[in-house]
Amino acid sequence: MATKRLMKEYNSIQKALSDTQEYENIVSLEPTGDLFSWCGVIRGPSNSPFQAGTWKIKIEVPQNYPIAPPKMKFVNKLCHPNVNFQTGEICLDILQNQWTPAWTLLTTMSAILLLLQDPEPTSPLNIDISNLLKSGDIKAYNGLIRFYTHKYAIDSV
Amino acid sequence: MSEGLESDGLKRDQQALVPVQDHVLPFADAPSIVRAHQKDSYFESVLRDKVQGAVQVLTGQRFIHTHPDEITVAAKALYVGLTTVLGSRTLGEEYTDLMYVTRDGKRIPKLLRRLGFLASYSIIPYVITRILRRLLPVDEGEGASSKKNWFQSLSYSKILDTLLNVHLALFYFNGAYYDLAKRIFGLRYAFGHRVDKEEQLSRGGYELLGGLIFTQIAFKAIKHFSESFQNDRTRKSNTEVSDNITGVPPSVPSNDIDLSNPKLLKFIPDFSRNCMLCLSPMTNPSCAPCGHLFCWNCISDWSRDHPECPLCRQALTEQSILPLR
Repeated sequence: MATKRLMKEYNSIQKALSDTQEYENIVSLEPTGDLFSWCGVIRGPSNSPFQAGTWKIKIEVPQNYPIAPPKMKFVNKLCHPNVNFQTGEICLDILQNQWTPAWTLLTTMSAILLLLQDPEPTSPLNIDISNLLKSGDIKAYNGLIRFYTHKYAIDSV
Repeated sequence: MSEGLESDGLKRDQQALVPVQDHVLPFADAPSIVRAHQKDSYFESVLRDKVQGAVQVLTGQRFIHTHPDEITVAAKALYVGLTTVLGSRTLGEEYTDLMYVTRDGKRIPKLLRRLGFLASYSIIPYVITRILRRLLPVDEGEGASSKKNWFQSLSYSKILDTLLNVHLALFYFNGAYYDLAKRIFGLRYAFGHRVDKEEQLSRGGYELLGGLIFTQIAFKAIKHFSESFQNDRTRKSNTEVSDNITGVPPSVPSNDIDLSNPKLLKFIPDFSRNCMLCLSPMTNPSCAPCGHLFCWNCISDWSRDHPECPLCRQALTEQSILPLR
């Protein structure tokens, strides 16, 4: 069931990425090797401190997908309240207990993009940046993110 | 010849006089007998309820549930035993003013005949059905192993049914014996009063019903003949085939409903024929309590770990999924 579904997803992803503007910030999403390990590239949304950065996301699909969620991780460093700066681990409920098979790899990628613009500082993986956001120092928050974006995410892919 | 005619005429004269002079009662007609019978069966059921109540007090509820037939037989025997056998009339017979006479209509039936009627009316049918029930499974087992011709394929209950139907049809035609037991023991009904012609005509008869039953029997017989004839032919062809292929189990056709076939379950529109778990046309579409459709395999796999609908997160247990057919 997993292979069949991943094949279907692969076909629809190629179509969606080339045809529609909906996923303009998803640069690519392709399997690497077999269908159970993928690699995605996202672009930082304009009018956000992530602008101009590109991040690679490593996706591991479990054998019982879509019953179990895919595992997603940032490869190059991202400064974000809900992303572990060292490991690239993402704190997103739909990647854990709120997963349902209604999500696909592509929609999960869009969910990660939405998380970039709309962080959740109450469940942080990066305490420092999340404290800046919580204290309301938006200038420092944006500045720090811009710094790390330029350091780790320009021409990274 | 002329003498014969004369005597005939004499007889006719005598018959015309008979109702006045001779003490022969007129035979009852079918409608009165049916009415008496209906009344009797009503009182029999009332009596059965009373007997059941008494038995319940004596033995408990369990006995009643395990022996419903025996109670019915006992009630029937009691009803007939207390009325007909003792020489009095049943309530139904009183209702339409009937009484038993012998076949020729000249005598009251003797006690032995009435006892015989009691037995064949209540006890013997019960015994026969018990015996048949015990015999039938054995009969079927033999039938499967040996080839049957059309006559042997008739079951006892079918023959009994047909016999009873013929009997009923005969009753509708000549209005003599409503019960087979009464026919056997020659208990015929006569009116306890004089009947004038007009009254008899106004009641009409049941000849039409009798005719219907006979046509029904005829149709059944024709159908049975043709079917058993066809069975014989197919059996012959089957044996020819089984000479060539032996020991191969018949292929089991898959009962899966695959929605990639647009002819199946047409009420599901095109845009919702795909299962959103496997993203393919559904196989055995199944409905969650919230109304969302999935493949049976997909949704039951999911629901084993997650008791919620993948689309709307409403409660969902594996046993609440309904397969659509």
